[in-house]
Amino acid sequence: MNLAIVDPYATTIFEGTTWPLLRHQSEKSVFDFPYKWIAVQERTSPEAQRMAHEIQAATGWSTRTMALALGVSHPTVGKLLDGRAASRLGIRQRLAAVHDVVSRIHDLLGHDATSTDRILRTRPEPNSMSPIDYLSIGNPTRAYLAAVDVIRPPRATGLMRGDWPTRPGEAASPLHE
Amino acid sequence: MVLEESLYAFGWRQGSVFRADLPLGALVLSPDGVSPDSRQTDHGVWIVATQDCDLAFLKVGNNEPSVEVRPVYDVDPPTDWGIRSSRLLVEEQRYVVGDSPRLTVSPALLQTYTGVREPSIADGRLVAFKTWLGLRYDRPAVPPHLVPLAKRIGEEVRDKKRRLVGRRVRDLLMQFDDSLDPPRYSLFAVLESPEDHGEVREWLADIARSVPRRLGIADRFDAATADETAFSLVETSYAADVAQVTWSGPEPEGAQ
Repeated sequence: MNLAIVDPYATTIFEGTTWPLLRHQSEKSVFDFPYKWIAVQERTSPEAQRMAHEIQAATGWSTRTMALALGVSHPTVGKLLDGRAASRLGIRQRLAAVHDVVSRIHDLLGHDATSTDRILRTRPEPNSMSPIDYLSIGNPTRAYLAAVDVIRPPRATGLMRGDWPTRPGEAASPLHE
Repeated sequence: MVLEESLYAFGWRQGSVFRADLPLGALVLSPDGVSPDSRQTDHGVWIVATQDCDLAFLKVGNNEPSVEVRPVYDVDPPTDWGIRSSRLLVEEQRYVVGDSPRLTVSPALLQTYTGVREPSIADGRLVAFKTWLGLRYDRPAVPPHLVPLAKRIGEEVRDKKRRLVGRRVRDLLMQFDDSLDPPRYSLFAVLESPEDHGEVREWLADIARSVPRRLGIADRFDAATADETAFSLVETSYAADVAQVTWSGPEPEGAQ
């Protein structure tokens, strides 16, 4: 018997050595393809599923908002959260980028999900893009910068100054030798 | 009257290199554990460290020790041109060392070496040498518990993919708030041109995103020209050593 493994959406990344086989289905007509079809169950990698849940916990976002940030459909987000979505490389990269920005802002805001959500939706300036807008177009660096600017608006005039001056007497290690 | 002329008038400058076998000495503790012991070797190549304004003041007839010269080494030179490294290249294969012994000579003695003075080192290296002499001591070192974070920021600054923008940054300063865990930090870029403000702030954010969260989280990115930078910021910040990749001048940019 010949076997063909079919991934109809060409989206599955097989992880590990055992592929989850759900059902076997023989073709019966005279036009039978001389192979047996094997449907392969799509599943989310544990790492991707963890990141999806952590993004939701850190922001309280709905699947639609998460979908906007990730640049995918909201059913896909639902599947990611349930562990039923294929974790394609592209999705994993977007998840990691969004997770990174959300986590940093969440940390800066004392792990307050409401504040994290508000900051990520706010535009630093009237005609600029919000952090979540930048995430949706795949630019996490600008998203991070925009979020930091919302938390603390950047200096518009005056001299560049710091908040945490070094304290004499504590220094010990040279950085660059 | 020749003796009333200054060393400067005879062409001596900060950064002048000359060849002469002079004793290079230091004191260490002797084996008896209580008295000083002199350790001395002869060294053959020297660079003048005294500033030009002092050289213009010192007369060649003066025989009091008042000119600082530092030994120039050529064994195992460093591979980069960094102005904040402990070793600074003054030429392709010759360098000075921050903690080397140094010698103080009289203008009268130095003047006798005019004939063995070498052609001036390149302008870019000369400026670097002057800056290095100052910077070796006026920037604080990083407290031990913040070293992993500061080192990682420095590594990300020097990453090859960031050099294009990094070349437009004169200096990168860091401040830390270590009252929180993980620590918070701010990055400040001193710009060559105000036009680079937006791009450099994004460059700073990109650096910060490459630093693992467990080491620290950046909460502020600012960029300004030297004219817009408070001197107190320069005095009270740690340096991320961006000059290692951006030193302007005829020498190669970046670590070799």
